[in-house]
Amino acid sequence: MDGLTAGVDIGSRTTAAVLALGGKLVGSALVETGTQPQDVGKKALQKALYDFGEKAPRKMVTTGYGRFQFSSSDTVSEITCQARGSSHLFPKAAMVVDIGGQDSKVILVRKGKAIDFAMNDKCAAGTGRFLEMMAQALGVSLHEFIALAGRGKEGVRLSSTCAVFAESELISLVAAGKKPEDIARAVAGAVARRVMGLIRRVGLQRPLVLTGGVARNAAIVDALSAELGFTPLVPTEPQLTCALGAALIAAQG
Amino acid sequence: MKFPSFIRKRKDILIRVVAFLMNRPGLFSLLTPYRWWLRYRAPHPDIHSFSYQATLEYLQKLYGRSRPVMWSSLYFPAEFIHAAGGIPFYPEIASGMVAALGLAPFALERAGSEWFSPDMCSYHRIATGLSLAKLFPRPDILFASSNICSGTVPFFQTMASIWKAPLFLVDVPPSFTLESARYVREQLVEISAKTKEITGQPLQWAEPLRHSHRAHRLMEDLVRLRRENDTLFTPPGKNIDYLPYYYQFIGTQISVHFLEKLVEHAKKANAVPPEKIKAVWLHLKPFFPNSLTEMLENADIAVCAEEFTLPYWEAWNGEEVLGWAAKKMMASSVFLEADQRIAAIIRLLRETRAHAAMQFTQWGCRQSQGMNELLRRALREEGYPLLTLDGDHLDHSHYSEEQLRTRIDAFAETVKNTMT
Ligand code: SF4
Repeated sequence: MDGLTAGVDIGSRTTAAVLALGGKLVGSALVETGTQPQDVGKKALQKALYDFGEKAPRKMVTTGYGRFQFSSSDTVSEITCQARGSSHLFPKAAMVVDIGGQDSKVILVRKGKAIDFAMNDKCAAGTGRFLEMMAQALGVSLHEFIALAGRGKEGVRLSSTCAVFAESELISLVAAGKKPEDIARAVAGAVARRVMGLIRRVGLQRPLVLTGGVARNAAIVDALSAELGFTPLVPTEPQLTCALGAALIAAQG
Repeated sequence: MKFPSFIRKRKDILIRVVAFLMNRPGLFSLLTPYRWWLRYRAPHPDIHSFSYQATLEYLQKLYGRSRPVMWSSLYFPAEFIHAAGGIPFYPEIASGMVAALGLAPFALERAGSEWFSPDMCSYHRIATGLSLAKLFPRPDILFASSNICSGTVPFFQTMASIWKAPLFLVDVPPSFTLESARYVREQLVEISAKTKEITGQPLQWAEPLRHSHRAHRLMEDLVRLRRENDTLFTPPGKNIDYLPYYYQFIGTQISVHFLEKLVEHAKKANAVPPEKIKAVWLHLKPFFPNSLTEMLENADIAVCAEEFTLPYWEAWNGEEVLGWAAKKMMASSVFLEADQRIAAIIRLLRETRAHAAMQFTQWGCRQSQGMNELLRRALREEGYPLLTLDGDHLDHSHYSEEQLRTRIDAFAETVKNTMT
């Protein structure tokens, strides 16, 4: 098809492919990245194309940490793609907060373009990986952990923002007889505070869009809303915004 | 990685053999014919061959122990050491060179095996590891100043205890006043007397001062040429790889010759194309083999000035020499004190008409990490974006190529968005 473009976002945990036509998202696929980023981009793209009933896009842009492994297309950083995709969905967006599997980013956006950003340093705190580690320490799956956090009450606080120290703090909270759901809620609060640190680094702006896999986690959205003092805008498919941005950039040039 | 025990044993034996050889000064005279041959082959060497020849000659003198070996921290004036007839050895610079040769893992492991914490700056851990293994040259005297970072003084004290050599510390107050300059000078007077007792000869300042003055002029010429001609050196500044010529060789002909060649190079170098982002490089950069240069090139970023290769002190102008040396030591506050450093960086950005600043922040460096947010805010107010990259200049295990690439690419894209 003539104007069909694709964006592929090869992230550390998931890979998203989005097809865009006439500025609209017309197809998508989401797969686990696994250990073969060079193959997974192709796999996600083929799945999206198959579902849409097309063989190849006219143009494609790849983004995400594995973008250079997928050699057959132009590459753009995830910061630019995220800014583009989020402002397409929320044209007035001034800030995008993306909490991914391995890193979190805060992007300052003007007219759909990234003009400043901050990313977490090497530390896993404030990322999806942190949540996974904490769920493991509590002996539950990530899914159960999210459900637990939703039921938890305020009152327990995790003071550590370092993933390693937080784990031992969590174990001592368990030993002190605190309820798992309250601990899970405290973990969500710790992630939100860490992300707030990044937001302050760039300077809070509204409207603020929350993207990335973690944006589907209601406990985190609640905790972040409490820190922000307002509820962020969350796209229906927060894991696809970056790939959408890539597909839209592909359509431009 | 864990090697089987017989290989580990062999590795230990190999290290011991190398340490044994490194501590046989007479052996280093064997390098002379090779050096002659190099000079015969390239009587007018280009800058790289010159650097190779100069390094070889230096290593020969250093390990051949032709004169007393004097260790020094970065901002203790090399001119003092040359005046005292010593061979300067800057362990922090040497650690960088060790990492460039890919030998850092061994040194870090050696330091770690004796419980030197990985929280310590890797510049100090590498030097500690190589001192424990007796691969660094034994110091006859150590000099250090207190004003670099909180790690420097304990590091030099540790070195003095490992090597059982005298350490002379200079306490350098952060701000310049007549009183503080006098205080530093008095310490230098005392240290000069003690150094003379050890070497048995008075300090001879004439030559080192003459060469230092000339080198300073050349460094100023370089800054001016790069600014006026928009000159581009290989990013992130081949200059930084040539650190010894800006520090330990200052006060010798080696530095002068090197800088003369660099000035010639700068006169001929290409201008920065207008589509490129001109960036000022702060602090140092990773020394181990890495793709930073390629990443910057791909992202259209050109480094137009580096913080660590600036003539930060005032050239000697005939004044009383220890008073001048004290002032030179205090001038280093321009890198070390937040207010002074930030003001100097803004000046540099304006003078070079740069678009942005970049810093590869050293893991565990309280000095540069500590002031990052202050720097970011101050630069933002002036309209300059700052990219701070987190990693380690020497320890490869703290380096992630993909994380670095994402940040550099995204930074270039955002800077371009604000340029257009
Ligand atoms: S890099 Fe930082 S911590 Fe390391 S020696 Fe230099 S100033 Fe000190």
